[in-house]
Amino acid sequence: MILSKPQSEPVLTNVATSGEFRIRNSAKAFSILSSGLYSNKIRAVIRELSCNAVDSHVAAGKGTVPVVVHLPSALEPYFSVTDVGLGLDHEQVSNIYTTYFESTKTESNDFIGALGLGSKSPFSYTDNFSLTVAKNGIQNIYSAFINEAGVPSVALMSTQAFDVPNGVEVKLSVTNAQDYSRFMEEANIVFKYFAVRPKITGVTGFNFSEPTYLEKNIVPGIHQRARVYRESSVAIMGNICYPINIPNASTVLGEEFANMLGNTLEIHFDNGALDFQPSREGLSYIPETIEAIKAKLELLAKALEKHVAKKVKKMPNLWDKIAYLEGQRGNSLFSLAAKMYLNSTKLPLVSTGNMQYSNYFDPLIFSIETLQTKYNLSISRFQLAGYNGRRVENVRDDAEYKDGKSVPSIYFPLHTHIHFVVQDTKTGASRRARLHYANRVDSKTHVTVTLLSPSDKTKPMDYEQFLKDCYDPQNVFKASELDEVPRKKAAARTSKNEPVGVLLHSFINTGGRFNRKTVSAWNSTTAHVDAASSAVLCYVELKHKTVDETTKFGIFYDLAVLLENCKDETLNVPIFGVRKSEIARIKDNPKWISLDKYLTKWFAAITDAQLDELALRVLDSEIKPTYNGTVAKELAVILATAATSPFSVFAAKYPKSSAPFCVTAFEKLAGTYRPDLNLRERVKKIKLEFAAVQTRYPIVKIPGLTAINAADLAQYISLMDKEFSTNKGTTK
Amino acid sequence: MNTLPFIVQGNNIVVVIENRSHTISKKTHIAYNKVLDAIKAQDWQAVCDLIEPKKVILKYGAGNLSIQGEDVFYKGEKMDNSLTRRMVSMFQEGFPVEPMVAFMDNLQQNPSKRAVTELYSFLEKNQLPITPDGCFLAYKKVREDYKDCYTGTIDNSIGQKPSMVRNMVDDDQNRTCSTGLHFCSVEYLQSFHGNHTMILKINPRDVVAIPTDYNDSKGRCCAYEVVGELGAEVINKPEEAFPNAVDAGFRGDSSSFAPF
Repeated sequence: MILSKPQSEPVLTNVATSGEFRIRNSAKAFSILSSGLYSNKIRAVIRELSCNAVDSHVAAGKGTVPVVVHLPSALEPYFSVTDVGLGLDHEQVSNIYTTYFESTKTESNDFIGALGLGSKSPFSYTDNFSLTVAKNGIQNIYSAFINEAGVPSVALMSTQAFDVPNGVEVKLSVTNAQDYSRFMEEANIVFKYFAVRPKITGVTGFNFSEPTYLEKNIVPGIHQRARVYRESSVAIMGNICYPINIPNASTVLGEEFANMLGNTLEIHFDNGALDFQPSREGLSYIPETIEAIKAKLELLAKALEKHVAKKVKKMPNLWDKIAYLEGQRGNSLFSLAAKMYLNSTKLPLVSTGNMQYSNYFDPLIFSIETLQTKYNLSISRFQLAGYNGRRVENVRDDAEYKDGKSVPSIYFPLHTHIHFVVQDTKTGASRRARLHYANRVDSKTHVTVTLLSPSDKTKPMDYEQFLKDCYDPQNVFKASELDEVPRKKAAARTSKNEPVGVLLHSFINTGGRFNRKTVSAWNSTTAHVDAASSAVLCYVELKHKTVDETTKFGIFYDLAVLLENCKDETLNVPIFGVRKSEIARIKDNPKWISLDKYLTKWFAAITDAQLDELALRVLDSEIKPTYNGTVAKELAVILATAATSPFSVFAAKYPKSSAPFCVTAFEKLAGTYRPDLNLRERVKKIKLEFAAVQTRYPIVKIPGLTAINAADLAQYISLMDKEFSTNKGTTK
Repeated sequence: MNTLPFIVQGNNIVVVIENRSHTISKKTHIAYNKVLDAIKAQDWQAVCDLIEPKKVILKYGAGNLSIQGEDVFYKGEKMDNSLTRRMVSMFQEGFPVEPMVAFMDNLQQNPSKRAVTELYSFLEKNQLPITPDGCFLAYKKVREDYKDCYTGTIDNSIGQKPSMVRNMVDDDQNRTCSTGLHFCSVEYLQSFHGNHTMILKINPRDVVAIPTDYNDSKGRCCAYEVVGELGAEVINKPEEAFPNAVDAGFRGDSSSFAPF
């Protein structure tokens, strides 16, 4: 192989002396060149010896004849490579084979070798190997070994003249039994890209592994291999596979080209096109190498652009064209090609932003008003989310900002995952669409489904024009074409005035936790609870099998909190969602009551005393330090004789409550069902009364009063009362 | 016979016999030391007889072995590479071939081809010794009272020979924990609890499955014999308990290992 040479000759003027660097002929130098060079020594031995053998065959005009490689086993524990090429005579062995950097192959790119190092590679694995060479009827056998000075040497062991074909055999014994399998594995890697595979002997069951491709010959000599974990793109030159790992690739090649290399490309180069490390374990990234790789990538990008253009041309409508091109944005192999195509063609909606960071195309935007007035369309959307896209979620409308105002609108990004379902059935279109998409076999793709229904049901919708204005998307289905959703058979009614419904909420055995059953539980109410044992059954009207989540389910949560706070079992009622038609069945049944009415009734029953108690519980945490239960009890006894003391009056009026109370849930429900109940006002009043007590008895303000003995506190209160009565209401 | 050209260097020997070079290494050649001795004694015929491992192994097999291409056959049945390697190391360590012959005879009685293949892999990975009567040694952890860890019902004290009907043992290697008498290698010992580590003698005929988990380091069989307990000396380094390819000493005490 012809190696790259320095591009310029130095010009020396006015220089006193110059001297050339030299290399000392030492054990260290030979060790570095033979052993230190290779990180994977077994692979190096297999590769270098096999490449030499192949070169010899090429030189002898036997390029298609396989060389013979013997792999080691327990019964034949040696590795050897044999060729029937030009062969070597004694002089050649003395001059070339034993001289580092001596090579006869530097003038032609027909050969893989060029450095004059590979033939010495067995020294990276062992201290000793044998060399059998034959040329012109003379066979010489040599032993190559590291002598006592650490310098590689060759000893001629035998010379024989007989009718033997020209050729070379290099043989080395394997030094560790564990290496038998390593030699097989490494041989498999090395020979993967050999144009003429060697003949393997010594082991049975050796199979060459064939590279697998996603796409072959994207351009001649550039393939995309099947992705293998941690494998990069590779360069193949002269049977040898070099990983392409260009340092700072995005800077050196540009972002797009660097991304292309992340696609396990296999790029074939002519011999000599790339510079490589002396070990051949990697490429040497001199400018010529980088330029050669870049040139191949440019070729590839142009070919891919043609590929993209061809594909786009075949697409019947603009939506699909745009969707396809947009889809290439995340494809590191095709993104550059798609961008190149975009720049060379005129397509609508092309984004004006930086395409590296934003979409290639802007979305289509329709205001709700336009949809209604122009097409008589009402649009609802849902998308498949969650694991495997099995969860169906509603998608909210978007908003477009125009002149500082938010205009309710719908955005349609032109993607392949945007589907349309036209409502052409009287009812059940949404249900059909949801079931159809949730059960799709390929639902791994997260799809957003747009349901097109008439905004004004008395008039036809012009969905065809709308779809035309959307550049004719392909994924359009009619609801009538989708499977009808089988209705679940409701359980038999137990009686005429027993409704069929859904248990929306029940505090029974749930510790007050929110417990909503799904629509699939639609059933006779008696199937859910023992209706006979419940004194009251509440119902909520359902519309389209759902309750207005923002209000009604909020109530359930507040109810749960209130029940937890109040411990009032009368709030613990089963609540059913029932259809309007079912409500008629129970309107005269005294056991059934609407949740609204039930809560109105419950709140109406709250007395002033109860409200005070709740207020005290809200306040409790604030007055706790001075109003400790034990102290209060003892004080009550001590102060019994002084019942008129303001402290005793306060303590008697507001006895210690047991549990704190969350005012928010109460307030929210009371706001709806009994707005006159002002719990906060009541709290404020008690606070003021307590503040007056604290003013009269300043010591009560001291935090940590609980530490004070109740008897001492009683004595203090008595003294203060006495002082007040003596000084007529003023303290000293 | 004429003097043969040779070079002995370090642990390698290169010798030329009849226009062919032979390069052998101490660690991998079946008869390196014997070749070296023959060279020193200038017994060139012996060098020729010993230099090719195939010839050596055929002779070692005492008529039980044959070689076709790269494969060794025992009484007409192809031997797995792991057993060939085992035989080479037995020869290198100076053991006679009889334990291997007995092992192969026992192995051929195993009715399941799949179990035999799995056992090769187990023995290859775990380097457990074979016994003179053609069984192999493995380990088992047991409770304080020498009962098995799982059911606590099977006595595993020395001398016991638990067994069960073969077809009651789960032979599906993908069911990693299932019915059967369990044994394991050194590697698995670290993954399992137990108070005593017992040494089992298992006839390869009785092996039913080698589950796929834990890197082929445990197995299920239908019978075994408890032959010893791993002594305190080697309990924390069981990999040193069996230094030889063939072992007849079972007490687990490192001093009691007697080369066969």
